[in-house]
Amino acid sequence: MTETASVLIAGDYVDAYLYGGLLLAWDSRGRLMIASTESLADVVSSGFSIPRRSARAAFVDNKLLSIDEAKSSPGEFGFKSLRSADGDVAHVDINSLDCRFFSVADDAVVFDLMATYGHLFISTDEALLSVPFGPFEVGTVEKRIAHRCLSASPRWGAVSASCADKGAWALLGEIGYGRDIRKRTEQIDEKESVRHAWTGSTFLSFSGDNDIDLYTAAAPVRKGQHRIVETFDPVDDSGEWGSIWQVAIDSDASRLRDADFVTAVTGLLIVVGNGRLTATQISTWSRPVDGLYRDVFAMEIGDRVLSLVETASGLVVETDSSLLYLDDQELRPLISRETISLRSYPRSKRHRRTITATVDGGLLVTAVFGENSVRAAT
Amino acid sequence: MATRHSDQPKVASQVEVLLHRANFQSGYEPRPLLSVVTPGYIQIHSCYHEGWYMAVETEVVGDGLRFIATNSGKTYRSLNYHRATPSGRPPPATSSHGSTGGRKSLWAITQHDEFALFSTADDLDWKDPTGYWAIRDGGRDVLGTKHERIAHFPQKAQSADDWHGYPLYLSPVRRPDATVALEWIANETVSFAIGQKILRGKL
Repeated sequence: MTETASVLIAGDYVDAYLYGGLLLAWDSRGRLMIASTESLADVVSSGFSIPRRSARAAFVDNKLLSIDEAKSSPGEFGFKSLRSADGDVAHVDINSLDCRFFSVADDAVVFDLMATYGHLFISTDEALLSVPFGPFEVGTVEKRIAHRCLSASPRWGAVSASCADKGAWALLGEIGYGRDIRKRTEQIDEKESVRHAWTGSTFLSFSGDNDIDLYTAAAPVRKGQHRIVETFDPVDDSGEWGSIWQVAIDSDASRLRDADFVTAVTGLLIVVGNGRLTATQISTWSRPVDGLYRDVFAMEIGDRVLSLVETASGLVVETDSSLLYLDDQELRPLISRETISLRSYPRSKRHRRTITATVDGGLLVTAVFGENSVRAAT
Repeated sequence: MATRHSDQPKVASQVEVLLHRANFQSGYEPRPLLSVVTPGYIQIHSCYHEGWYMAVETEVVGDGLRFIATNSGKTYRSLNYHRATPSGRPPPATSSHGSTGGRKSLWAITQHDEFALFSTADDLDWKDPTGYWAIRDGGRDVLGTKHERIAHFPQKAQSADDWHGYPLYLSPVRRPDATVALEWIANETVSFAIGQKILRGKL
C-alpha cells in the first residue's frame, strides 16, 4: 500500500515548482510566491495534530521513519488527519505560511515554471524569462528568448526551451549558482513541425484525432545531444530516428499508432489508448534491441489521460477530472479536481517523493510514499 | 419569453426548424427544440427555456446538413464525416493521409446543438485568427465522442464556403488565442482552472 500526505494551499495558482526546500508558485494575480517547505511542515503539524517528525518527513525530508524508528516511537505517525471523510484533502491558508510575494512579470500569461541553479525560468506567452532567486528574495528579471515559450527544462548543465511554432530552442552553457547564465542562446531546431519541448528522459505526445498532426516526440539520443521529432504516423518513417521512438515502434507499432497518450518514465514506455494504460519496459534508451521489451503492467482507465509523472515512490496520473496515483497496480484517487499543472521531482534529494499540482481551488502538495516506506504505525 | 425567426422562411426540399436558446451561458441543456414545419409555416410548439429562441432553416446537402443561418448571417454545414454513422461506427476515412489517416473527430451532440454552439460563438465573438472556438457549460460539457470539451470552427478557406467545425483536444500549439481564454476567465464563462487549462492547451 502507498501512503500519501496531501495539503491544499487555497487560492488560484497557475503553476508551482519545488526547489531546494522552497515552494515557488505563480498566482492568478501575476505574483510569484516563495514559501519554505519547513514552514509548510510547521503549519501542517500545528494545524492538523500531526507529529512534527511526520510532517517534516512528508514535506521537508521526503523520508518516512525507518521500521526501527517506527517501532520505537509511540503514537500516530501517519497522515489520517489530513484526509476528510469525503475524501477531500486538508486545506492550508496561505496567510499561515511564512512566505513572500513578488511582482515579477505582471502581465504575462505564464505557461511553465522551472528552477535550476538558483534561477527561476518562467515560460510566458511572449518570452522566456529568467530571474535569480533565493529564500524570500528575487533578482532582476531577464528576457532570454523573445518568443512565446511553452516550457523550459533543465538537462546536463543546459536549459532547453520549447517555443512552439518557432521551434525548440536551447540555452546552452554552464550554469553556475551565483553566476550569470551564459548569454548564449542557440536555436536547435526551427522547423515549424517541432511543436513541443523534450523533457530530458521523456518524450511527449499530443493526443488528438482531428485535422492536424498528432504526435510530437522528443528523446535524448546521447548525452548533450537530443533529437526532436514530430510524426503523425511513426510506422511510415524509415526508422532513421534511432531513439526511444524507434524502440517504441519496434516494440508495438499498432498500439502506439492508436494511442491517445504516450510518454516515458525511467525505464518504462507508457501508452494509453482505447481506455487502457500499458507500461512497457524499455531496456535501453540509446538503441533498440529486439526481444528486450515486455509489458510490466496494464490496466483499464476510463478517463482521458493528460499527463503522467513519476516520483521515487511511483507514478501519478492526471486525467481530465482527477489526479490518481498508482498503488499496487491500481489507480487510486488523490484528488478529484481539474488540474492545471502537475510536477514531480524524481531526481531531487529533498522532493523526490513529492508532487505539486495546481488544481481548481488551490495548490496541492502531496508526498507519496511507496510500499517500502513505513505507514501509519498505530 | 421572446422568440424570433425569419419573417419569410425559405422552403427547401427538407426543412426543419431548430429552436435553440442562443443565450446558454448557464444551465444550458443540450436539448434541441425541434418543430415540424409545413412549407410556408413555422410552428413553434413550445419553448421550455427562458431566453432567446430563433428559427433556423436547414437543408440536407450531399455531405451534411446546412444551417441557414446565424444571427449575423453565417451559414453552417454540419459535416457527415464528423459524425458516427447510424450504426454507431465512425464514418470511413476521408483519405489515407493526414495526421489521423483521414479519421475525424466525431461530435457527441446533435447537429442542431452543433449549430447552436457555432451560433453562440458567433454571437459572442469567441474568435481568434484561426476561427471560432466554443465550449458549453463552462467547458464541462463533453462535445465529442472521445470526451472532447471544446470545439473549433476553422476560418473558411473561401468566403463563399459554409462554416464547419469539430470537437477537439487542445494542445500547447493548438488552442484558442490567449485573448479568447482570458476573456472567458474574466467574464466567468469558464472557471479559473478550466481557463488556465485552455491557455495551456490541456482541455
